[in-house]
Amino acid sequence: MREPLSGEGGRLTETALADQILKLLPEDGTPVLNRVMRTMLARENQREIDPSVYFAALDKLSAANRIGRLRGQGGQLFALSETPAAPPPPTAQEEWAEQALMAPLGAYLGAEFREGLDLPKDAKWIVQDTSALGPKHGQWARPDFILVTAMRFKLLPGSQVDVHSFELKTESGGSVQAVHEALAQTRFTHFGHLVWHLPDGSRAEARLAEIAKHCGDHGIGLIRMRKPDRRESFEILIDPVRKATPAIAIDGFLESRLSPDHRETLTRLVRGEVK
Amino acid sequence: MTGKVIAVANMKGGVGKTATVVALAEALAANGSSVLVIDADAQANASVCIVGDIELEKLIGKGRTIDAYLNDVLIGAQRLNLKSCIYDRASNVSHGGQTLRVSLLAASSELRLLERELIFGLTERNMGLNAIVRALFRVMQRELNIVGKAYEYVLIDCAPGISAVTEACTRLADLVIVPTIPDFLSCYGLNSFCENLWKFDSYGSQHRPKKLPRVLVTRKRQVSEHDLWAKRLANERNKPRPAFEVFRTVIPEAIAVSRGLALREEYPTFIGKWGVPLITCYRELVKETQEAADGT
Repeated sequence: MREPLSGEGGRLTETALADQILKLLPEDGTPVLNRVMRTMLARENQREIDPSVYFAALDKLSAANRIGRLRGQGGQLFALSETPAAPPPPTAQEEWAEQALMAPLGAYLGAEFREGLDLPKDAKWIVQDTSALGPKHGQWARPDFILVTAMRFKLLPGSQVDVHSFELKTESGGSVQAVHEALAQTRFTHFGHLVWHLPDGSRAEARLAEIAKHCGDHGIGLIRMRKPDRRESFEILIDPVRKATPAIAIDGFLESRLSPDHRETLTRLVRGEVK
Repeated sequence: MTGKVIAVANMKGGVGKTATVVALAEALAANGSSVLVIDADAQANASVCIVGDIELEKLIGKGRTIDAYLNDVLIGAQRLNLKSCIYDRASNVSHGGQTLRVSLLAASSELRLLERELIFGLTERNMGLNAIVRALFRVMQRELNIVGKAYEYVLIDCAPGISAVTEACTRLADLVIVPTIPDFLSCYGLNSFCENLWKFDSYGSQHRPKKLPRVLVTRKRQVSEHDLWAKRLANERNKPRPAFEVFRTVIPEAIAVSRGLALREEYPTFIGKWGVPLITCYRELVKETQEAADGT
């Protein structure tokens, strides 16, 4: 608590407010409602917080990737943690750690996978690592990657945006539960995929039939990574089914996960400003 | 213009004074007013309900309490002003996305000792009890004339019993609210309380309460005993010289009250804190309080 400010005429700047917001946000990424944060700030400063300064401070933090924002109940914010550096690829005998699988998967999604979608020439696409974004306490709300595709039509108005989420699992991590994790993520996306590092001859292949069945039953795509360092070894075993996810849920999800540049690109595209 | 001063007092304890102060302050603020709560009870219950234990400890540690202020101004070095002791925007409650404009002048348990010290110290200067109350009255009046301008309402949570601080506060008030449980013992004490504060005239007419106190029926249960005493209280207006008026609003006995008061370290909404049935009562109470205090 600060010293009393009764009668102080000084204006809180958005920079000062942004610093206070970062100090007040739980470090573990637990979301805080906007109205609660504003109350905390009002008590901290013993004065009313100007909404325009408050939201300018949020925009500043959001642009700097220091916070994420969620929709609902007047909006929420949460602290973003810094993404740890990717570990080096393992030796032949070691199991690939999930973090080591991230870069090969990102490259595959932006190349072979996206090409396989057979998008029109003028369509745009975005691949983003979202593994460290989103509330840590949100159950199954943090896909490892998202792929957003956007296209406009020649005759029809508007644009079509499709959002894919990818849940990456290591050789030992593939399970029926992982299918349901990928399924849960489709509450924010149109297509859910489970990406499983499953080398040829792996003992985990015994689980493949059951996992594939659950993927098929729930409309979840299944991608097998045989050799992470060779993208031609990746294979789509099951295609996902498009979910009728409410647009508002997807919009809020993208707003909180896409980087400012990606948000800008997507916004311009759906407005028809990008040719 | 100074905000309207409303003292919430009753000689009897446990009738809902603090609950009335906290809920009414928040209801007035939710209705758009700026409110200062002065905790004049050494139990510091209103303080802890508004800012929570941790913040209250900090306020006490920094000497930002009513007892620290009165001690300084009456028998100390006279270095403090009331404004510096007020915790502005103290509320953890929001309504319509906005933090309620409730500020607090907290109390600590030292307030009880201070009253003893005041009586001891000032009687040594040949001041009688009436003179001590007058001194308290003048100090509070002077400071409220300054800080009261920043608030539309100043609510004072008085301690049970009749102390020098309580007497000074009730004489400062534009309106005195007397929360009362509609039962034999609470109503029995009520007559004595009104007799002592409103008809005893040793302070001079300028210090007499401005208008009759208003009884607020609190903690009412759906039992015949409470129904009977509520009717008896309401019947006071038919007497030739009524000792008090009575609010039409009745606050029921509800677990939501104690649950709401316990939300000290959280950040509830006004409606979430008290629940819709109580909110309806408090909104009616706001209307009646404004009518009584503002004369609207």
